[in-house]
Amino acid sequence: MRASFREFLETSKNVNSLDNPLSGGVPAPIQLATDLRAAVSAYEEFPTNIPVRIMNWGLLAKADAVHPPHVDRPGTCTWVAIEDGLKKWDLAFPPRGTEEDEIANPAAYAAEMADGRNYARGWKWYSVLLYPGSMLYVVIVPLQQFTQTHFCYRFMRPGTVHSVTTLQDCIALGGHFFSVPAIRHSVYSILHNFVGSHTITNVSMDNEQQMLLRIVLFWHKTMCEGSSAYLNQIEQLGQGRSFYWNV
Amino acid sequence: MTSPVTLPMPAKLLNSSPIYTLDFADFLKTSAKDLQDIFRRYPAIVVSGRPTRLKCDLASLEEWGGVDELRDMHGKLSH
Repeated sequence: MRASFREFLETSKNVNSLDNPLSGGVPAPIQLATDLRAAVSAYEEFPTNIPVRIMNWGLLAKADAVHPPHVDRPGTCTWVAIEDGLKKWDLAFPPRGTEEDEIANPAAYAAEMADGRNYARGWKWYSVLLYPGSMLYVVIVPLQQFTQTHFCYRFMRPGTVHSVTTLQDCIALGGHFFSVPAIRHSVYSILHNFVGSHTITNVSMDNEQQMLLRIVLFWHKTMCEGSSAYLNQIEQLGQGRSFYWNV
Repeated sequence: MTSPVTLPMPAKLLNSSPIYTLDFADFLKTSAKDLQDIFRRYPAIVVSGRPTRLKCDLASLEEWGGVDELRDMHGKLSH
């Protein structure tokens, strides 16, 4: 379906506009976005448009749009900020006792997730009401229960299973990013998306993983091409460890 | 698939919730290291009170490009 923004606003039909790459002014949170930090360095033969074309976007949705359980772009964290309107964002997490096993298991990111919400696997669902402006009050309740929580800005780890319901016509800003604290989840997510493909995600694999390579290059540049302080520290630690082992 | 509706008290939930919450002013004051530590422990963070500027109107959408330009859009089941 193709339509203009003007037609979007005028129609009473249920329409969503998801493919709105944005540039400038809406970066991922720099405190968490390791890839953005790494993107400061320029490397030959690396396209410079990836952080903008893929990683930042605008969402436009009419009320009553529903998206069933899915995961986002392979390996990436997601941030979303509601500018106007209202969305209910449902997030699913595996039970604490089996969390490590579940997030590593491709079977947990398959048809059972998409069709059965992983209830049979004991996953817990949380609902967050995302709306613009200040927080009114907060109540977070576990899965299979109802939540009245008002928020306007949200971050998710890679591979977080979620479903979305637009409650009022909504305009939102958002994006994807890679973050070192969640890099283990990125690896799992890339595997699950490779296995589950469009059964579990709503996007195709694109060039976003070049952002991961940028992080590796950034670390190499910092550790090996700059001061020798970092490598010296590693060497000293290694010597200390040898001493400890010898003792 | 069941979906019983109950509403526990928030105080009972804070320790067990996988969602970390803070307001935008505190978010801005939190260091990168502290925020990354939070992200290691919590799979989701929600921040309230972020200033907003855009509306669902033509004036706002003009910032995203031509409002009469045809674009790919989707039906009911998408977010």
